[in-house]
Amino acid sequence: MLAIETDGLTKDFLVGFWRPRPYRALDHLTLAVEPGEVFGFLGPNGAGKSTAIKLLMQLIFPTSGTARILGRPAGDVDVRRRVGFLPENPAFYDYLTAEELLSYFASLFDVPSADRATRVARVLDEVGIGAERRMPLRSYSKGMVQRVGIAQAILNQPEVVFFDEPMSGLDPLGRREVRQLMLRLRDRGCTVFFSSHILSDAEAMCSQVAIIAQGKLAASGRMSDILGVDVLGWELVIDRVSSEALALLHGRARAVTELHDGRYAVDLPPEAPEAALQQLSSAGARVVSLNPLRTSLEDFFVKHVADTAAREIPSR
Amino acid sequence: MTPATALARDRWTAVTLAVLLVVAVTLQATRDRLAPPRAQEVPSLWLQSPSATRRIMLSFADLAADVYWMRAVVHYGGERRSTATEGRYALLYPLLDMATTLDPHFDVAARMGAIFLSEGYPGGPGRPDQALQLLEKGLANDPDRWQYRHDIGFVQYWWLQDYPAAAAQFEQAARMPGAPPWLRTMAGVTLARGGDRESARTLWRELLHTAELDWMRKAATFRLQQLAALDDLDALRAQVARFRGRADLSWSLLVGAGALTGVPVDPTGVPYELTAEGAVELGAGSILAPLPGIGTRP
Amino acid sequence: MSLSAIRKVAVAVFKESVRDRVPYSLVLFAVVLMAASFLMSRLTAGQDLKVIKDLGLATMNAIGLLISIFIGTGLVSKEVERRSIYSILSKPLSRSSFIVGKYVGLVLTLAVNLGLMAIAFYAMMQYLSWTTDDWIKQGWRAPALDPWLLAPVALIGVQLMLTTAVAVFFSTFSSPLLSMLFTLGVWVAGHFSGDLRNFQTAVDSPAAAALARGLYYVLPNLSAIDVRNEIVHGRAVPWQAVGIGVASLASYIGVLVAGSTLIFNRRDFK
Repeated sequence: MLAIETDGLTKDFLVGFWRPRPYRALDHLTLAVEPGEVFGFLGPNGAGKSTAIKLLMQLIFPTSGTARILGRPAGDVDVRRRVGFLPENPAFYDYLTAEELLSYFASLFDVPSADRATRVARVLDEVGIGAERRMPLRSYSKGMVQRVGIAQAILNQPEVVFFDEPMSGLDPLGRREVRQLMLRLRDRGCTVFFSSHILSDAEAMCSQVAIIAQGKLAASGRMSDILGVDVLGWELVIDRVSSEALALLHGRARAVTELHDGRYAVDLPPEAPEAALQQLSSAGARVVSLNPLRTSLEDFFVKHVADTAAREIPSR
Repeated sequence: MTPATALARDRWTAVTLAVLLVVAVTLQATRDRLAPPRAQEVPSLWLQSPSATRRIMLSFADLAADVYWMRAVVHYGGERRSTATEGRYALLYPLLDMATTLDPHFDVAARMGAIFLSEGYPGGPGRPDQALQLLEKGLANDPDRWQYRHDIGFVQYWWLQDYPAAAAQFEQAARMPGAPPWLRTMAGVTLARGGDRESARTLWRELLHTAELDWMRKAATFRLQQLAALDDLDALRAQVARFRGRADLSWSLLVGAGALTGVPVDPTGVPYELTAEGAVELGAGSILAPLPGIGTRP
Repeated sequence: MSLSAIRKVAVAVFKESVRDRVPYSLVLFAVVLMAASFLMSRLTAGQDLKVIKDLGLATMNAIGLLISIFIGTGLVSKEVERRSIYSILSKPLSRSSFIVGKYVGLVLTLAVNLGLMAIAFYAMMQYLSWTTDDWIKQGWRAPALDPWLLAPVALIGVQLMLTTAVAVFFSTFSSPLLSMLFTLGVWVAGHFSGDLRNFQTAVDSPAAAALARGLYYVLPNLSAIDVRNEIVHGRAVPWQAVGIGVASLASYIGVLVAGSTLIFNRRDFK
């Protein structure tokens, strides 16, 4: 049984006041997500990512096509017991404290009242909300609200979680914590479906991605297929570069760029870089960093989004 | 801006605010003195039609009726003390009409209103016809309230001196549900003896003992005092007649002659007056004046 | 629809109203009554009790109406505007349970507030009874602590249940401002009901009279269950007619709540 599947899911919105015309926000989206995966749903802003997730949560209704979660139709009330949802830029009842909000949601999940307090406390600990949990939500920063949002999404120990832009509003430390949390969820057997326009997050975590642009699925596949494991080259950053070292580099490197303060970025070919490094150190240079170059998600993304845009232009 | 300068700025703003307020109030007062508000126009109601007002008031009609009632009470009280020579009590009937239309079962407004309206000038507008209108309207809305018929009869008896009509009303009232037995007596007395003092006394005595409203009781007491004064005057005139022709006619003469035990006073304590010509009247400051026309026949 | 979900949402609405300081309206109520009674004792010529009763009932009605309209029209639209609707509708409760729960919660709020106002009301009348001389009391057509006064209070509650249902209904698809105007309009029309029925006496056109008649039957008749005048004056109340009126309003409430769920169930929350 697939955790999440859609078949030709389409949504038209009526736009305009006097003569409403349909605007196709999602065009025949067909996806399949295996249980236990971390699935990245990527695309530029306005591509239809939130629309797709809202269709899956039945916050909006499809114009055509179907969606299923854990084998049940998307509108099924019972399946929502096993599902968690973090909306984009979440907002809650701001006169409640984090504890009260989660307690209320826990009651809706029929968590017995004896267990509620411990469950709520545990979840709040997991997302890093400390003593503020007793203060009303209206006093929270955006990052804290985001954490509360994540907390209410995992409160019921779901089998499937939908995160719509989970990193928004978080500082780099917060983003790392969320990444770690998503991986922990995966380790517990949860299927994580998240949308983002930030590719580095997906690159680090996802087993599968789908790329959506202008309402259409541009591409999907396993990360390993998309990225390939082959190293295409090495990016080396060095400083204390003497003229002797520079001379060495010009022979071996594909490109040399001066950065600042005597630092240089060097693009080396894919062969093992140890020999070049040794030569550079004996020339007095010091290695700052060495990174392998592979096909990145960004390359993939740009290529497919550009393709979709190009295909679209003649038909407009 | 430093906190100190911010504080100073705020202080100056507050001072300016206070000064401007004082100036505004002073200007207003000055304007009032120089150009006093237009002289008393005839006061009028903003809402003219009782039935339309009833619609507008929606579910707040009862409360509106209370407001109009209070206005009527205040208006009546104010007009009684006023020294104006014309246009007095102009709003009394309209206000009472409003109150009794907005709340058709507001019997107190109709009944006390009828008393206010029938009261003779200057204590009231002297409009028993309007009083009857008010009471008839109340009766139409509450056909089982014998008190309305009783009051109608009373107005006809006391103010219009229409004894047969009054007797008929008392008779009808006596047959209504819950009516007390003395109504029948009143019907009989009115028919038989009309405007004599004893029947009047009977009526007022009944009212004194049965009236639910403080005001009505006070009115009854007052009338009974007037009737007692009439009795006194009859007796005194009889006494004085024996000394007619004496040049030194005075109360002390009669006291000296043993006809009286002291200077006679009316039920409110004001001494009666004996003129040189031998006429006996109420004392100058007596509140019982003017004595009613009814009941002058003993 | 699940009763337990309805209950949970209702309790949440009630708690929100307490945080929104709705109960402070009680303070307003008590202050209005006390101030009025002190100010007017010389003006009523012995009619204090009637005026207090009328004022108390009218104020309860007004405050209740304000609560019903202002909170009722915001129940759904505020959630949509705040975007808190996304997180709540993703929980395992049906949309119908949610909207019915919202309605029940506001009715609960109104019931508690009315109840507290009634207590303050009786306290005020007891005070009046203590400070009034016996011979004035003889003239009172209904006693101060008249238990029958609970009848108009309860019927005000029924009226408010209707206006709340109207407010919630409009709030499922319309903006708060428009919802308020529509709800107020229905309340006003509900009191003019009687006039609509007899329109042919006011206007010559038979078509207009027929239309007015039709409107009369469609619109809820709020003045039919108004027994305030009878109770304050100690007069008989046509209980059977009132009972039928209440049943009719209950049907209307059912229609409105069902309509609300129908609309809410089909709405896209973009």
